[in-house]
Amino acid sequence: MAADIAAGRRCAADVIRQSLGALETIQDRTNACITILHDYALQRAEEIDCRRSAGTALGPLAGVPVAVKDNLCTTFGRTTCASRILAEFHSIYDAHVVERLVAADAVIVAKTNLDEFAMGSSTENSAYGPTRNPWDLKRVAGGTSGGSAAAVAARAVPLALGSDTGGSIRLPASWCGIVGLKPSYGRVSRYGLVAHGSSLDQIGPMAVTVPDVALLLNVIAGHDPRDSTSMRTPVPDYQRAISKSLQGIRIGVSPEYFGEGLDAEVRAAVQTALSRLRELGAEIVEVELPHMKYGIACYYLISTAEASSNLARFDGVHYGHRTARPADITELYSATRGEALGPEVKRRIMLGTYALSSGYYDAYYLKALKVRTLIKQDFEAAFRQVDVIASPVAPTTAFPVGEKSEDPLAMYLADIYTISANLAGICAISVPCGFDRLGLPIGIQFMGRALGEETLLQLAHQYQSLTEHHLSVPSSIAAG
Amino acid sequence: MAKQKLSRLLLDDATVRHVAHLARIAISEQEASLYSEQLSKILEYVGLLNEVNTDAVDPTEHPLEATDVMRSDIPVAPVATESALRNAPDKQGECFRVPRVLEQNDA
Repeated sequence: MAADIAAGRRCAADVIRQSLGALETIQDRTNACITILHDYALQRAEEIDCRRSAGTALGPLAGVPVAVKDNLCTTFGRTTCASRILAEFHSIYDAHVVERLVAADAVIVAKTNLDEFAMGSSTENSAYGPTRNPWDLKRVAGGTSGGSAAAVAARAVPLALGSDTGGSIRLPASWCGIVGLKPSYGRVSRYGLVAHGSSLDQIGPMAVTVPDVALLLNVIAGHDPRDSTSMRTPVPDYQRAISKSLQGIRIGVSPEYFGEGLDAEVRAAVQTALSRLRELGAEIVEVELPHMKYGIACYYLISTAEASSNLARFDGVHYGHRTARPADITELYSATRGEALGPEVKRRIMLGTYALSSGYYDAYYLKALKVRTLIKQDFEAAFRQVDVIASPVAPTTAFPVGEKSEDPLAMYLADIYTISANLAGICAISVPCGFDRLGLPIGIQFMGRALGEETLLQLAHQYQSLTEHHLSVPSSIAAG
Repeated sequence: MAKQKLSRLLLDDATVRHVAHLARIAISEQEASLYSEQLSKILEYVGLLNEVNTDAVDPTEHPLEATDVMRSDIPVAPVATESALRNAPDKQGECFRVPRVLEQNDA
């Protein structure tokens, strides 16, 4: 698409108009977007067309429509984090990744829906309604980057950005039948990403194909002095890495990911994928990740502790919703937050506050940090034996909207296979590997060592080239 | 999934109200009761971590070998006041306006 626009075969304004139209068309059915940026996007597109006519050099994504999750700050449109507390918030700066997209001449067409403050697994916790799965509109898109996943799956945009704290890119990518990558911690700057869990969050690319994910990763990755956790390690050319052959690659498989609770059709699809990979020359090796089972417990203490601190800033003082007529400063804080934060957000802030409180800090938070060390060490040991670890992305395919809303813990367990990668800081990708008998997408997860994105993308691309899952389009969209 | 009523809630209503106050989140009686049940169930689940012997294990606060990042002590352009006040719920002059923080006779 970028090549066509740069060569003048298509004009950016037409491409953008088409994308905006597609987003509008799917909006009622899927609720993928919180804001569709009509005026901003058309203006940018016209600007790019002018520059092309004038012969000025264009960036690698010139005229390409990109959707961006609404927890990424933009100076255009609102940044709501799917919360009522930021319903009318207009950021005064752009996130680093947004600056990179703009510098590459991409055109951001929408801010997509998410679970409020990126807390959830289904994009049902949004103050603006759930995002429905284009493959079955009665089911969830997965979360928390459900809006981005749905927009790409529906082919309204070729590229999107999501964020991943416990699986929030990989899970919706898997349930919507697209590719989603969580980069290694520190690979992509978090400046301008509204923080959920600062030691866990990463922004990552989502697209239908692995080469597109690699391209987008190259645009957003790299050191940023404004994020002190951003790594200085140079960014390789990911697109060059993906074409290498898989001969001799060692793929680890751990029984922890294939135990009780895993749906039979998901298991079968992942095992079929592993057989195809063996045919391609990969060696499948059994590895042990004995502490994987503690990932959820560990995560729901660490992420909530960090969130309780990160969300303290939403207090009605400097921006966002403020309660009317507070009696005193304490009521200003409490009533503001009580009125405008959703129940899941409140639950997590309280859980985190409790885990950090005097008398409980050692038993909960500190204990979780120690188990985190063991999880990280398990991966380090495994990566001495293998290059990549393969697993299902989730125990099931997409569930119906509302099915798990009454039971927070049941919802948390959807993240069981994805969560450890965030705790360890390693990279991980979800790639379509089949459909269940209801036609719902199934994803396979590949996890790589920290800064191992090249191997991960290489494996994902070689695997995807063997399959045609990504060529299927949801019927709700194909029917128009 | 069947609802389990814990015979002894790990977090009773009073504790939930205390934690909500620490977190500066106003909650109703109904919310206190609901969250007490939900949070107790979650805390019971995270008790799983007690199975793990962590006596000789150091905590990992952060996945990277991170150290404080410094920059030169050279002033950079600050955020303009007008910009900083753009989303202010209530402002006066160059300030954000909030209810009085100190009591009259503290001055």
